[in-house]
Amino acid sequence: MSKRWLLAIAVVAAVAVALAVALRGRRGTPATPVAPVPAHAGAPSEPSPAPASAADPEPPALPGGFTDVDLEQVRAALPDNSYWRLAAPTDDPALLAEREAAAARRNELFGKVLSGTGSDEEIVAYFEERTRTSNDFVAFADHLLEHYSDELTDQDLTLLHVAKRMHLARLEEIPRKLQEARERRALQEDARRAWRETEREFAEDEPAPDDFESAR
Amino acid sequence: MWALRASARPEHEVPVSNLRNGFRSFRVRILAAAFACAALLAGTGQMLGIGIEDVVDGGNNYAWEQIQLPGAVCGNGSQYRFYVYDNPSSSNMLVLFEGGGACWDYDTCSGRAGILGAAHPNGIPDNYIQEFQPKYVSPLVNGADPGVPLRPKKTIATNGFDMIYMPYCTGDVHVGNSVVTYADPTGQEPPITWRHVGYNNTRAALDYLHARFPSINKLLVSGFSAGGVATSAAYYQARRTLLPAKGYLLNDSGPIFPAPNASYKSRPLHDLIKSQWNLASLYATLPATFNPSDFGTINDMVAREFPNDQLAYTGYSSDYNFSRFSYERFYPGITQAGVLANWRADQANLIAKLNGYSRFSYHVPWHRPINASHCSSIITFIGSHACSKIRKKYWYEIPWPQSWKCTGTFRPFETFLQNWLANDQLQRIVETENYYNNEDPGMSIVAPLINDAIDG
Repeated sequence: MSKRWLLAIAVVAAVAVALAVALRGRRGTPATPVAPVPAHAGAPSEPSPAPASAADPEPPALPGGFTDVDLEQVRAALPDNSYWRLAAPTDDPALLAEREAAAARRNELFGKVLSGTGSDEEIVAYFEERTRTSNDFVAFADHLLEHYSDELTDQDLTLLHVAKRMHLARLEEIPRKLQEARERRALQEDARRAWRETEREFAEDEPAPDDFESAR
Repeated sequence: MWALRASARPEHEVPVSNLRNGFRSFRVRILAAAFACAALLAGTGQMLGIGIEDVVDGGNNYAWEQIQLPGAVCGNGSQYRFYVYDNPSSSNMLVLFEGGGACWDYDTCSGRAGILGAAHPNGIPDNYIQEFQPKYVSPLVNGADPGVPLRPKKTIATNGFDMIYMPYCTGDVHVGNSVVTYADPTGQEPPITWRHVGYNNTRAALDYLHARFPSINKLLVSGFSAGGVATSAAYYQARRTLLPAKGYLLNDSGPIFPAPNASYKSRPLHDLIKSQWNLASLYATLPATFNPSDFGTINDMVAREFPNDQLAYTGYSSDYNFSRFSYERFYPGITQAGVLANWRADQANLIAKLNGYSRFSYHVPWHRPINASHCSSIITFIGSHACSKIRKKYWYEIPWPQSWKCTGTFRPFETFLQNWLANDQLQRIVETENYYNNEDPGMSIVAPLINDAIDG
């Protein structure tokens, strides 16, 4: 056999080994617990492993199924979804700055809602924005689950379901939170009015500088 | 500090253009087909055993009891409430301290600072345990990592424990001991009288729990963020009051860093909370192994007082949430890079200290784009793995879409938990710099949805 053939066989064998290694790590699925955890290099001596130890799995070698998701197609299907403005991966400095400013504005409103110091319009605006965002994000998750479930890994599906469930839970709470915010605002107004009244009375009771001088 | 998510830009992001279907190669399809077959075969057996309890794919359906103790109050003076789930078939217990920022002035205590202040400035509502946050925040409490609906639950090592959920409403990491009047710096609003009385609440709850659960086998005290701080600060009290057969401490992202003098970056924060929360009044409740001139010795104290207990710290090296609280106020003009540099230096000091104790584990991943890398054990364990040896791929390795490769021990958080809690094994990994999670397309696309849900 010529050297050229030997070289060709060696190359094919190397590719086969590389493919096998890649296949083992596909999707990052943790291996079934089979063996105790190996000691971490540099760590002090570890206690004897118990029989039910979970083995450290093979690291995932290939990405999740989101590589098969065409975000431009998703965008075409959901063009007005606020995901693109608020959350889609981007390197665009202008969009990132816009997001930062939007987050600061929203936090300012949130602070007013929490402290009861916002106007009714500000309270409504805050919860309308929250409602809109959560609805959009649920729609985004639903679209991916509907059109890409077959391509997505368990990890991808879990993340999507978690996100969707959390936004649905938030949406469910919004009417009550809105009511509580309005009640808080009313209480804070009462407290502010009473405090200002007290302050005014206190100021009136204070002797004027002239009175103070004559009393001396 | 769930309520404290920073709106910082991740250090690395994946552009949309990289996520198009240009990667949809023949090779990937072949691999996917092979794995679809394998998954189908492997999954058949699992699917047969689904019971009604298995379809709870997040949250929990425990029969919670709401406990209201006389004299236990929130910062605003309203009744403090905590929650107990007593599993009749369990003698193991998890006490979880909720996180949610901290406060020390009008804006942060009144709620006006929004997510940059303390959680629950208006107290804990009736039946709070059924609300969004306590339901979803902790897989530890739920005994399972969230999964896909109609699939078997992914149970974890805390599954079946008695659960104690300690909400947070005093702005003092559950251990303050002062009543302070904070004036509005704008002069527009009336002053607030704020009760930093977390210590009293925690003590009262522990006494109640001891009376109700006189015989505990495993006691796991845990908490995230501010609750993580409470885990370390209140462990001595919890351990000595509840008297379990075995004790476990898991501090998630509420590290009390060593700070023996002003050259340590966390010292100004420690000095501030010492005065605002009157912590000096509590020194007498701790043993002499705690040195009040260095709050970081709380870690030494728990290790020395309970040498047979399993102790652990987890947190990200890129936590950009707790770190902001730790440094931004005290180092005016500090940049994100500066904040993280301080954090990593302080964390390295902590890890060095923990290495001196044979039962102190740590699980320190580098980064996760959920909640600005703050808290490993919240929401989901996805992305909370740590790799003992990770590097950029070499030129001959397939570099897309993931250019990082774990060549050492790859340890998911659930594995850490299983080995540490169920098997009493020391587990130690500090992951070096990498952006594996950021290059995970699913994480990049979906993490912002999760972040928005927990924001505000």
